[in-house]
Amino acid sequence: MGFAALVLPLSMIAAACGGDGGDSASPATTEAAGDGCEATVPGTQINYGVFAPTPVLDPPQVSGGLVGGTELVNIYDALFTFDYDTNQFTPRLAESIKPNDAFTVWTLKLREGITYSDGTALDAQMVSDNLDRYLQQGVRNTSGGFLTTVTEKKIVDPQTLQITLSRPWSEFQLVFADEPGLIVNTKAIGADAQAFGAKPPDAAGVGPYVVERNVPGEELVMKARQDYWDGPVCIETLRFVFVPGAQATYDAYKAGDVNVAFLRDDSVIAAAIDSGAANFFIEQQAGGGFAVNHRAGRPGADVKVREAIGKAVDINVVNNRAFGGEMNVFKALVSPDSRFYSDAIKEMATDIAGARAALEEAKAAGYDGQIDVLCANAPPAPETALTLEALLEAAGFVVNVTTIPTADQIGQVIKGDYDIACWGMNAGPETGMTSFSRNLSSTSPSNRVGYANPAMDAAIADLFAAPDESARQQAMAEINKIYNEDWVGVIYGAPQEGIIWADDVQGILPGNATTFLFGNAYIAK
Amino acid sequence: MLRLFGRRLIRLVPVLFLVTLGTFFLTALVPGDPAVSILGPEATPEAVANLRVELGLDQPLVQRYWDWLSSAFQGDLGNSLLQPTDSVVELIRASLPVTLQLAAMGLLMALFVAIPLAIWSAYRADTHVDRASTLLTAALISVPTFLAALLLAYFFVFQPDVVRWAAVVLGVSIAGAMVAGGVRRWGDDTNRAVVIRLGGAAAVLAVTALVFVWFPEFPRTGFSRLTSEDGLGENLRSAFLPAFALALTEIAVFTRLLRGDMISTLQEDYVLAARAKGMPVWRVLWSDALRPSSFSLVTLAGVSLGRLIGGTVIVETIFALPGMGRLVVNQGVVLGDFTIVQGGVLVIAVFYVVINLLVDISYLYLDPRIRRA
Amino acid sequence: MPETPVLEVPSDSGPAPARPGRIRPAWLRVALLPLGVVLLYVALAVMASLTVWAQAPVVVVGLAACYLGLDALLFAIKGRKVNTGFWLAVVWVVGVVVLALIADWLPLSESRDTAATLLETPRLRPDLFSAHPLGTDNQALDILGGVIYGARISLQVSFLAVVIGMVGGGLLGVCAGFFRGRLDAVVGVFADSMLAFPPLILLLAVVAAVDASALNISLALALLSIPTYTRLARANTLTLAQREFVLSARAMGAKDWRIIAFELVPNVVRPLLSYSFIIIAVLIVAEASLSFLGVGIQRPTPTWGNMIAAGQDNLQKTPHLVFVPGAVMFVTVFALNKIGDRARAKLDPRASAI
Repeated sequence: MGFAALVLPLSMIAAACGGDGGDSASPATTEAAGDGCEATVPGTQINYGVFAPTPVLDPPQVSGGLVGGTELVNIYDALFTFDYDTNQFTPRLAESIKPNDAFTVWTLKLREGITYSDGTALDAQMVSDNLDRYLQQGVRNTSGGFLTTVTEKKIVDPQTLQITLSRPWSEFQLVFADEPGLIVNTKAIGADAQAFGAKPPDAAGVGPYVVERNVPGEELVMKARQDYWDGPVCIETLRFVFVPGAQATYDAYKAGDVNVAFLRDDSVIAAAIDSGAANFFIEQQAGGGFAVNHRAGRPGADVKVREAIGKAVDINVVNNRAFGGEMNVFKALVSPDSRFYSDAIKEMATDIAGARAALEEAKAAGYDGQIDVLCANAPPAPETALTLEALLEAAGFVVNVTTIPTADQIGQVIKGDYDIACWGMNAGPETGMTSFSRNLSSTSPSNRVGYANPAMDAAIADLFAAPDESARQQAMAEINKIYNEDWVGVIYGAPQEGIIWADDVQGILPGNATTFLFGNAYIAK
Repeated sequence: MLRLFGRRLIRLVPVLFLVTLGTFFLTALVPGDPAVSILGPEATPEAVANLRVELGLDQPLVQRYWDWLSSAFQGDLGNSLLQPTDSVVELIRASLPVTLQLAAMGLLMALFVAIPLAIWSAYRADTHVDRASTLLTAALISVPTFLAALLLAYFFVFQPDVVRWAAVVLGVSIAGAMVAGGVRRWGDDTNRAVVIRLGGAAAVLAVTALVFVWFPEFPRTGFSRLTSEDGLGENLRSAFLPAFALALTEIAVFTRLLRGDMISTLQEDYVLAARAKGMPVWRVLWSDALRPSSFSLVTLAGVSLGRLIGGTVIVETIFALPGMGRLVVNQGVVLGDFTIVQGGVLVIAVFYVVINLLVDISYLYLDPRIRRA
Repeated sequence: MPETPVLEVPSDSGPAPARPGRIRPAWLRVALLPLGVVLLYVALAVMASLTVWAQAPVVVVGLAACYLGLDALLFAIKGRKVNTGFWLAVVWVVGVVVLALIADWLPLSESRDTAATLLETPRLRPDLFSAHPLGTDNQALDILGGVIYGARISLQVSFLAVVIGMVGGGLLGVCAGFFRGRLDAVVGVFADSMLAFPPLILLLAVVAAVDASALNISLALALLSIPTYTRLARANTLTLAQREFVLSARAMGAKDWRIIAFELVPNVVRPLLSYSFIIIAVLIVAEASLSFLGVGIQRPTPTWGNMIAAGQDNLQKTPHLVFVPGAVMFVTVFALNKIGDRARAKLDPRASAI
């Protein structure tokens, strides 16, 4: 019922949640063009409840993924997307990408004939210029961290770009499924970058929708593009609204205020799936966790304090209190459902007596036992914060909890202004490698915890260079081992995230980092 | 009288001045450096210092206040500090209509319910009807707005059947009470009164049936603007529940006030005389009893409107409405964007003060004792 | 010139005159009391496994029956109509205050320290004769204890605010009304500007500027209540200042401060006190609103407002998280309003609202 044109890796989720919905997964259809309609159907509208709003629509200025990912991909379309059934990156605006044997030189071939509405061609030069934008000062998007490994970009011909990396990376094409693959028409930017970010003109992208109205805090409205390269866009209006909290978003869905709702809260997701809503969810490995700040002057700078924190967290208590028992909890970087899992992955120890002992050692060295917890104020974060407070206090810490709006909390963690924060790594099957690298590599600008360990860097390099799945799993196990040894932070589980949609909506295409493309979606009669 | 009016007007100025002064210094106390929030994580200290100079944050407080005040006089309330920066006047222009609509709708709903309820209670003082309405108003005053809004949202949006049946019960009991009252007073009333009473009961039943059959679906969150393509219907649908939540307290306040006033008016000699002369009850209630109470009602309505305009924060938060409350609180206070706070509080205070002024003027005008003076 | 009041709640019409006996015999009406008790027991103990939505109407009917029965009982005992509602309100408020005071010595389950409840079950249904008579919340904290400690905070905060407001605002108002002239004008302007400030926004701004402790919230609330007391005191002073005892004191050559201290203040205190009940009720709601918006006192320290806020997402599954603190708050505010109405009728010579 409504699943026909949509990818549903229910096998993955069924394994995680102990079986729900017995529908068989249908193969992915990127060729749904023409299925839904001959031309844009007037009066059709998608109201999409987002996880967190983004007032800015210029990819380098957007965090991406959970924040702004779907909005952006519908404006700009992407070079590659990710197929969750086959675990492969599939080309969209690109035609193909081929690495050399050492995974250091990648040749990107673009689709021919893609132009922006002002006539500019989407060619190799445009792609190259876009990559440069991520290396500028002050960009919010963290893909720049990976682009620093690009040593050379050669424009072989207008459709072909050759990229040379300073070190091997077996899944480099992820970069082109992520924000750098959303190719912005640099000629359309103009003098006022801020105005461009607030409302990109029609010629800015080649995605299925153009921005009509962006009122931050209220709504973002997009209208169907008439000459979309992948066929007629069936749904006329795509409207994004922000309803804080998963339960509130689900309530809005039930009330009909939104017909597509992005949810990231396992107890709400369980209720939504139970009610029979059409859905697509993936598990974000390491998505549920607490980041501990290692920087000097913070309690977490002392490994004994980190050990105390690590041992104190009881993931079942967290699951029970904050997620109604519905989350798939596992105290390691990847859980048994992940493609990176192997038996070599061991969970971090839970040992309250050991936690107290470690804290005593830290106190003997001069630590006063005070620690600040920083979490968002939209559910389930407040309950998570309180549960962490309970667990840490049981270990002997003196805890102070602060909850602030989601966007603010993200900003503060990015600034490095916290002791311990509700902060996961969101490592999906496609983004896993880069997520771990972003968060744990010492050279990554998005390493928000201030952690540096050459052994970890080496293990991450191995992960990137791994030629096949079992090599990746081996590297992952090594990363997890070092993570546990250094007590870098605490991971409690793999939260689900994804969307539910109204029965009459069909043809939504899930893409990289839980974004969704509506170019071929349609409203069934 | 002009003198009194003039005095009132002059008092407006220092009041507004003090409000802006208070807001300014209050927001100056809020911790955090806006320049750091704007520039974000990769900001260098020089960039932060430069931005502070650009925003004028390095100036002494008094100077900044004076600058803000002088541009405010020219209609420029500054720009919001955080992304995306917008003129504060524009932001207020977008949010103010929402708040004004909520306040006005709340007020009108409250009057619509309170006036008949108060009249009925006053007329039937100390009967069951009166005791029930007194209990109801006492209860309504005691329910905090956020709790009322939560419960309204829950029942109207997710349990509409419960509400429909409750409406049926309510409608039937009101109609029943009207008929029962008529039965009890069978001898007293004239034929015309009987007809009016039965007609009234029938009308109530008809409305109840209509509500039961055509119960609209209310959105849980969100606001559809009047200017949007969906028009008035959607707009009213999205504003109904929040306005109703606001109206509940006002219903109670108005009913109690009006009832008290009317009870004392109904005991006056001239009312007795009118009844003795054979004037029908409803005429007496309407023209002789309601009118003297009207200016205290006008006063209270005005005060209420002023208060509502500043008090929509909670319903705007619960129903996710893009009004002034949410603008000043969520964007301004919580995120530290103090230009929004200054501009927003000024606008709200202006409305409050002007409305009070108008109320005072109308009071002067309506009360003949003062008019003569 | 009549001032436009702000925190105005028009008074009740007072206790109704004694009514003649109704059709049914008196003993039948008194029997409603035990019937009500039985219904309550059925609802809370027997129906404990059913959903709260089923329990609620039975509870309401039971309470109504109890009230009517009690009314009849008191009528029978005293021989005349007793204002049962008023006395129940007094009993409730006194009860809440006493419980809040002796909370530390009551045999309550843990309601404030999340670390101590790690092994308890969260989100338990209310079960009258268990260790958690009113259930537990998301952090397995006891709701009964939370409600009592929350009462402590609400009462503390509003009481302190009212005392400060009454003393500060009252003195200001008396001086303004007594001295008139420029002092009166200045005080009036300050009072007006504070009233023009949207109250919730003022509270939020103050609490955002300093951190949200009970003391700071009390001070912020006191700030809000001062203009009301100022106006009240001033209006009363204006009338009193014309009275004979003041004039005679002046004639005897008493100094201004003596007149204020010994003639005016004692007489102004009574109407101010009478309003205070209602103002306490308003401040309790204001503090709860702050907590509800997440800006007041933070969990796990329980306040009525933050308990309701924590439960608001799950009205369908666990309505007791909202209803229990909501009901307690409602009854408390209702009781305070009732007492305040009666107090105003008795103590305030200018009982009309405008």
